[in-house]
Amino acid sequence: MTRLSAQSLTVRRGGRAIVDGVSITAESGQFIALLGPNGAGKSTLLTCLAGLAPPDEGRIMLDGEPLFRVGRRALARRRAFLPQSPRAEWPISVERLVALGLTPQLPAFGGLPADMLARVATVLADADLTARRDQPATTLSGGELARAMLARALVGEPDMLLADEPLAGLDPRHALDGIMRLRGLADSGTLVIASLHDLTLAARYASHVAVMRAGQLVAFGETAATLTADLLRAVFDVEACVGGAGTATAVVDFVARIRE
Amino acid sequence: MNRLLWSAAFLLLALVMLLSLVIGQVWLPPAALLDGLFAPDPNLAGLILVELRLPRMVLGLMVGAALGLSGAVLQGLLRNPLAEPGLLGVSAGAALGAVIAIYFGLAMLYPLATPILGIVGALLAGLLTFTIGRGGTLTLILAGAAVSGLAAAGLSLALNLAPSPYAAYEITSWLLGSLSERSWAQVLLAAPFILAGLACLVATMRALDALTLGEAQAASLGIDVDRTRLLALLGTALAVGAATSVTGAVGFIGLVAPHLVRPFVGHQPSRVLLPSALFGAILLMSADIATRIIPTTQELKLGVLTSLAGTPFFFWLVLRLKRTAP
Repeated sequence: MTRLSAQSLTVRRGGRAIVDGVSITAESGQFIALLGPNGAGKSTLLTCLAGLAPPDEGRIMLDGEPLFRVGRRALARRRAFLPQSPRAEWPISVERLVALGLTPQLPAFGGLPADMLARVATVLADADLTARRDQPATTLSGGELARAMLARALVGEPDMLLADEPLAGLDPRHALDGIMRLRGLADSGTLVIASLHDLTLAARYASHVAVMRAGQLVAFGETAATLTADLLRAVFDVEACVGGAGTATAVVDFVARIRE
Repeated sequence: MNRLLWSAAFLLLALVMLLSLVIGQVWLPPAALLDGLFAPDPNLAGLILVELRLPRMVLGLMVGAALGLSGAVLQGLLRNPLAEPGLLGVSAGAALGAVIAIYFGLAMLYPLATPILGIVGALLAGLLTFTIGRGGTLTLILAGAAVSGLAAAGLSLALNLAPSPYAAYEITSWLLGSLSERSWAQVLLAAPFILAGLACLVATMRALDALTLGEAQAASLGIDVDRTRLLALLGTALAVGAATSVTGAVGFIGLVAPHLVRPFVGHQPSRVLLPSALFGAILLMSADIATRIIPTTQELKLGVLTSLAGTPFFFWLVLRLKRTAP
């Protein structure tokens, strides 16, 4: 059981509050879609919740212990973090790239033990990348790289996954694959928080939605009860139509706001 | 790198080490050198071997390894194929320290003054770079450039105000870089610093691999990026600083060595490190042997030769980047 709870988080950059008094409690088994317009503070909040940047105010507890007191390596074994549009900086093979996700589990010296290699092979197959195993990661297409990076984040079997737009650039089939895997992870007891821009996918597969606007958390709760047309209208400034939120056939559509 | 390549590299290293003992300004047949080495009383061949060529070989080995390893670590840390050991201002600081020793005539009074002040200069430069540039990779590079600029200004000032043309000549000729006429005392002075520096650099290995994913993901994998930067800077200050203090500026080895080995190890940063040290040593000692073989009226300086041979490589690197970059 994992329980991540933040109380009145505030992060300031250049005098402006990027994240403004956000309180949220997330537990294992939840797949929380973090929604909000560009510049709402989603990425900053995710970085904070991942324990990678301390907030200016407020505190974050992981299972009742202050997050920033959990050891670096111990936290790395429990939490996976995927930043927005990650890049591979050297042309290492896709297999090696994914294996880097096992860094915190690795012995100080030597190569990968056999059981870890097997895990790498499994996540590669899940990501539909087995054929690309030996290809340099820098030659992957954007969507393939995004899938490889998600595989990298999942190979360590984390208790919680924080991902910043993990589905950006994926074709419809792989976006569906990806979000269904995130939901599957949550169903098997992982805490998943992912910022998304595809509202329909979020409405279908996220168990919870957290909606941000101008640094503040304006709504948080179960998808069916929370993701409403009124909320989308207020947050995204569009005319929205939400059908069947929280079910596998949910549809979210929107058009430009009609102004008098 | 597989076993075959490793063995080939070690064989090459052994060959270069042997050649560097056999080849010199005076040709002595290997048999005479061996006889001289084991002769009971002091003799010319034995002295040349033990007091001139052996320290030169050991110095070449250490300095080459320091440059190669530091280049590989910095390229991995900065994720930039053009990074090289001089980037952090450490080499320039070492050169300035050494030149101060020559300028004020300390080197005449006490021969070890040059390397000692060189090491002090390198460490001060490293400290300055770290103090100004800590907290970010880009700020570290910029701080290194600023410190390099400062030290270069100091070097120009020393040349400008040199008390005599002879002093100016001595400074320039030291700056060109050479392994010749270095004593055991100088080698042994630099050795502990170089070894400590190499240890710091090797300790960054796993972190460099994780940095392939960028700093945010590396940090999320439990890597202390600040500590990695500190280790790389400290290791470079100690190893390259001490190396430069004894030999003067020797360019391009640290840039070239990692590129030579990278394709053979699948580009994984941690696997580039040790082969880079090995090839750094091989390249430096080969260049040093070449300075002894190429017939010139004046001594051909090592730093000049590595620059001459290294620059075409740099051109090639730029052209290749142009081809492969998106």
